[in-house]
Amino acid sequence: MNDFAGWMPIRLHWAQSGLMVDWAFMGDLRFTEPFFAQTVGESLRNPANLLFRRDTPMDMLGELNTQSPGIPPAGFIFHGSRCGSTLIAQMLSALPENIVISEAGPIDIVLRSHLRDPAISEEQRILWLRWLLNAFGQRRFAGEKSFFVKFDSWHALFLPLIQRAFPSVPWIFVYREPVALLLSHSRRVGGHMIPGVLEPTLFGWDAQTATGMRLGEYGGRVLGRIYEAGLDQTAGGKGKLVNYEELPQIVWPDLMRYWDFDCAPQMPEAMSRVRRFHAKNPSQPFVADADAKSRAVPDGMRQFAGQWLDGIYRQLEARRVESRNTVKDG
Amino acid sequence: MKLAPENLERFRRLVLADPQLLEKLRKNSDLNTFITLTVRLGAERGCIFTADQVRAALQESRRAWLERWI
Repeated sequence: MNDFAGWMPIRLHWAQSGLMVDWAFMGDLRFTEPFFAQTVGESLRNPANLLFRRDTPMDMLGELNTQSPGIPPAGFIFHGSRCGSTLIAQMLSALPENIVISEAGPIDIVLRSHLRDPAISEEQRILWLRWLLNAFGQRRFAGEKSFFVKFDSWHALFLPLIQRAFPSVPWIFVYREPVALLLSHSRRVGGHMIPGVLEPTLFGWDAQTATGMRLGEYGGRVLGRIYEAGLDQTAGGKGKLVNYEELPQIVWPDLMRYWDFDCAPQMPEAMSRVRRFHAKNPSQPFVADADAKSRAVPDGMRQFAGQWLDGIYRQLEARRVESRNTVKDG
Repeated sequence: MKLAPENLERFRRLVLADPQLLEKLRKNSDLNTFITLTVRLGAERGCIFTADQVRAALQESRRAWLERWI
């Protein structure tokens, strides 16, 4: 399997025989861009990497899993979208000892593959997910020792499956005050907030119910479902809740220690530098905009927040505060 | 992904089996230089194809990546 050293699965696509893997040579390119697809895009700017790609059945990932074990995942990040998870991922990837895969398309295809082909079982998806993460966790640089995955926001709905696949990997769920969340989406709407982009069954609705919703209502309810998943799955002390307001201080050392990362009390300069820039657009400085946002909130947005998100947000907050107190008391 | 014309596809397989050849091609990030080199290295190995066919194959590869959600 040395043939695949430096190669990464960048895309899964459906053929008559089933799912296929599109591999690209990533060579000495670390995953440092805010999103997986951006780093892959960077690699594909080289015409040789664009033209000379490999296309294999999924089983090739299984062979790689057997013959070349990667670094096992150290931590997972789930989130409600626009909640600061990209900042966390960027802070992690600032350290050369970390591999950080952020919202990788192939993971999404595997998790939702049963919606395309109902014959694909949960066991099959668990196996594929393990194989994929093994490929992403391949050590390509000396000194790499920890591997983190930031999932797409709707993947919180797959937390039971992901925990079955990786029962010992500590995970967090990042969330935010609902109005600020909806305002962020109103400026640049996330794909999952648009009806028809994701299968409505994912959220427990049939197509007719989903298409009957107003645009803002659909988005609010999608976010509500994601928050609910975060709340449900943290019952019984599983996972760790993180409020946007706790960022970035909570990353170092609290989260790092939660992820079993051996660290000094002082945040490394490389990581500290990240927080001064906009996480999704690192060429821009970060500007806190919470106050400006609270001044211009349309009434409809407050209504959607109140209807679909506020109650769950309060429960998330109560659980988070309780868990912090438990730790202090302990 | 659609197959490129037969000779280019044959050359593609040769490159994928030969890391040194791939590395040689990777060193040319300028598009025109890359295409010229690809045509020449292909011809040296008995795989005759044109610059336009390489351009079309590149376009097809780009399309497959950009349309990954469809």
